[in-house]
Amino acid sequence: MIIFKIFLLVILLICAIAVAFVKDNLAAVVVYMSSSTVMAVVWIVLESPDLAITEAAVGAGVTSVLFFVTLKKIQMIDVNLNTIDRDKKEGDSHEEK
Amino acid sequence: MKKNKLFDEEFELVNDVDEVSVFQEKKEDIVVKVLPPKTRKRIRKGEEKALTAIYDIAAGVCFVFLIGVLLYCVMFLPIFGANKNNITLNEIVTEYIQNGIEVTGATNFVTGMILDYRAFDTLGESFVLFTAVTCVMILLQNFHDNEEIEFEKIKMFNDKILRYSASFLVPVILLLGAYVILNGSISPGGGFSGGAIMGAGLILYSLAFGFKSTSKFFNIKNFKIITSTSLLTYCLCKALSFYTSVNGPMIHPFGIPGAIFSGGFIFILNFCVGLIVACTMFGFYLLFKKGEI
Repeated sequence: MIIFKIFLLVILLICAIAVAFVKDNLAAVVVYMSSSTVMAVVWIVLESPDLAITEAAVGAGVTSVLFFVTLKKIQMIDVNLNTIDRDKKEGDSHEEK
Repeated sequence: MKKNKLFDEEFELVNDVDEVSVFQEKKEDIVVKVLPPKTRKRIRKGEEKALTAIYDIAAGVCFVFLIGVLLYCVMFLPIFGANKNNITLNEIVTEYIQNGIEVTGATNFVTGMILDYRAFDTLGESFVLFTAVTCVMILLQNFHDNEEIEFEKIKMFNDKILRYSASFLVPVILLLGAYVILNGSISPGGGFSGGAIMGAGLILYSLAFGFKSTSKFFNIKNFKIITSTSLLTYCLCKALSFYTSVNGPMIHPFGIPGAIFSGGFIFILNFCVGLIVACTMFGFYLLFKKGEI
């Protein structure tokens, strides 16, 4: 059980640090979601299921959806899925070099 | 008289416009001659590098200083569980633990704590959510019909995977939310968490099936009616329990594990808070995405 706790806390730390260093906003929101899901498991381990339910519903569910919607509204995510094409082009150019 | 003379002299100095203007022109000439554009750019780049280094160092120093202050503050806290002889602390804690479940009628004592001893806090939270929704409504409400919304609608209807998975998931999520809200006094959960789950389910439903399907039952009218009535019933229930005992005029065996209605008022309060939270979460989403509820 102690090993499991340490494992969870290490994942939580990695997620918390990774949010600051991820450059893509969409990826940052996904990392934030994963950190809050891990936090929900930590709450269950600490014997507070009330908080775990709230964390899973609010932290991983609603706030991240609101983040996605705001990112779309500020036009950080392209509506026409141009990001995939751009990535492909960039990958091709790198290969050519 | 001396002061007046001094002032006059100063004014005279300022009023000599010609001299000042000549002086400025000279300065500009000197600047242009000494720093042509190429050297300027080089100097600026060097300065920027130096400035960024200084900023990094300053940020690090501030970070370490803040952490140090916070850790120093933690040192002044009493050791956990060391203050056993504190009478007032012990009285409150023993009262809550021994008689809390019988008095409040909630087998899950966390909701009993939130909705009875600290009911005013929860009322404040729900009011904060309500005011947040009204503020978002003021800021983000669309007063004109946009064409972009219709475009988004068409895109949503084309997504088959989302629709297929949502048709399985949405009823399960909504049932789980309702279960968590209604069983808040017995099992872990409560109004806030259940309301958040229900709000998430409604968001998924509107993502999969478009805004038209949700606008049948979730208008601005229904939103106003639901939130205001649930806030008012919360206030009335708590006002009753201030004057009468905790559970008021309800005569029922309280605090029986497994029986939903043994929660007394807490059952009603959970229901109200859950409705408010579900409506506000879904309202946030609609306001962000569509611009109106």
